[in-house]
Amino acid sequence: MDRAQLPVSLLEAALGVVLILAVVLGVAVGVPAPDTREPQLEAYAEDAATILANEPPEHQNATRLAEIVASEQSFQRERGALRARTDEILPDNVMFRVETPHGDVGFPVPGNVATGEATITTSRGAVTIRVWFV
Amino acid sequence: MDNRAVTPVVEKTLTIGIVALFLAGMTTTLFGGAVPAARDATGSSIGDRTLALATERVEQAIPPNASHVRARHRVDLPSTIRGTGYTVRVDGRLLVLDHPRAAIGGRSRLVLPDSVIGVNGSWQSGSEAVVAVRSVAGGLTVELREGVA
Amino acid sequence: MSERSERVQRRAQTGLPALAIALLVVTMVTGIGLAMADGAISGADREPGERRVAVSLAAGLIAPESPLTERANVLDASRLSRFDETRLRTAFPVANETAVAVELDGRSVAATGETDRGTTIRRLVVVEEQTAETLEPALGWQRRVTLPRRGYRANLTLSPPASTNITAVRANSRVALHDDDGLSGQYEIPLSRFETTTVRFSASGPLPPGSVRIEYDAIRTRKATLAVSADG
Repeated sequence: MDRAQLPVSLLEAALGVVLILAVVLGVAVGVPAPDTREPQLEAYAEDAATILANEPPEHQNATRLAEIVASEQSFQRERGALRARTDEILPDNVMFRVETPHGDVGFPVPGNVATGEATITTSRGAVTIRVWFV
Repeated sequence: MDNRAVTPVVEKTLTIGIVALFLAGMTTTLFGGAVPAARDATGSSIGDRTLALATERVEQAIPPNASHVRARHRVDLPSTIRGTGYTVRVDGRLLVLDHPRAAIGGRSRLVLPDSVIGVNGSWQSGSEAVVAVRSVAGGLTVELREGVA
Repeated sequence: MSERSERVQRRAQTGLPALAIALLVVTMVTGIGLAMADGAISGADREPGERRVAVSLAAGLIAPESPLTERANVLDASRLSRFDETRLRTAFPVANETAVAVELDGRSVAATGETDRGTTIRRLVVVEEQTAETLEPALGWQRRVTLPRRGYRANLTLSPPASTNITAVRANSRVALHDDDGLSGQYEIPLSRFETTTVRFSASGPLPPGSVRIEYDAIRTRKATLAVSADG
């Protein structure tokens, strides 16, 4: 009756190894990914907002932004130009959405992606620009 | 038939003794060197980050093109670094992080517009940190103070 | 009896070496664990100080109070061309302690060191250039001229013939100059930077070419990207 008997030490050692590796993997994997992209997106949004807020308008009103929030008609008339101009201002690897009181212009915001935003308040309402990397 | 290497009792005793020695040795090695070094490295990293955050908040508290300003911003700093409290104080146009441990600390230079004529004050970790910007004759002053915003 | 003691003997024999192997394995795994923790700590250090310098310097360069700008996010082309390392160090002392580099659309504007392995932040700006332009228009029967470009202000030199009185000058819809006794000489009028200005003259008689000379700094804008890097 020579049963092979596993020495208890090896069992204990195996348990110990599993425990240590579990703790270490928790440390190594649990560190969140670095985010130098967030401040860059916030900067892009802020810059786009500042430039749009100070642009000459297409027709009348003080600035392009004031023109687009002035009324429903002027928004519908200018939305194409706004989209084109925002696209031109922002770099190629950035997508945007401009939200105005009369409607939104741009691309749909994808979920689960880092975004930066900036808001300009005019006397007729607030305009928010959201940007994200593609 | 007495040619066993060692009796079970002795073997078990030896096992206990060796494991006890091993644990003692491992604990001393880890807590003597590796663990404090890792804590220092982490603490230093957190200290750098805290200083960078504090500097950013102070710079962002200054409104652009300001003529008549009275603003207060609250800053969220960790209450301890490596288990101990610390101080953030001003040295000219520099922010300095003071911590009892030598490995943790740092200085960073503030980027401020010319309208800011003075920065002073300090923060003690653990209490509410506030940046107060005020316009005075000649420009703006920035003060690091504690208390409710 | 001897069988049992043999079995016991065998068990006893394999106990201690197994323990030694077990302890060795645990030690090795602990060592590996420490190495991984070390790697995780150094990997997580993202040089926050360097990033802060880049972000703050970039914000300072495009702020309204910056030596480079006309207003927020608008750089003046002539000030930009005069900007160099010395002015960077004077205006932004942080550049003395950390190596920074400022580039516009890929071309270097000023730098205080190597920033190849540093952090970079980009800001979107508009570069505004003012060129002096002069017009001596032949005013048609409507007595008006539209300036081809926008500008901040214009210098008018009015020299009407003796028989004519220029009574008013309008810029777009606003009256800029007005004198019932007749305007003559040099005047400065403001222009709109948002739209081109149409200058209208009200006069009591003919205005041959040469009676009006307009000098203004025409504004031209182009968009650009300002990249600020810091390494330290």
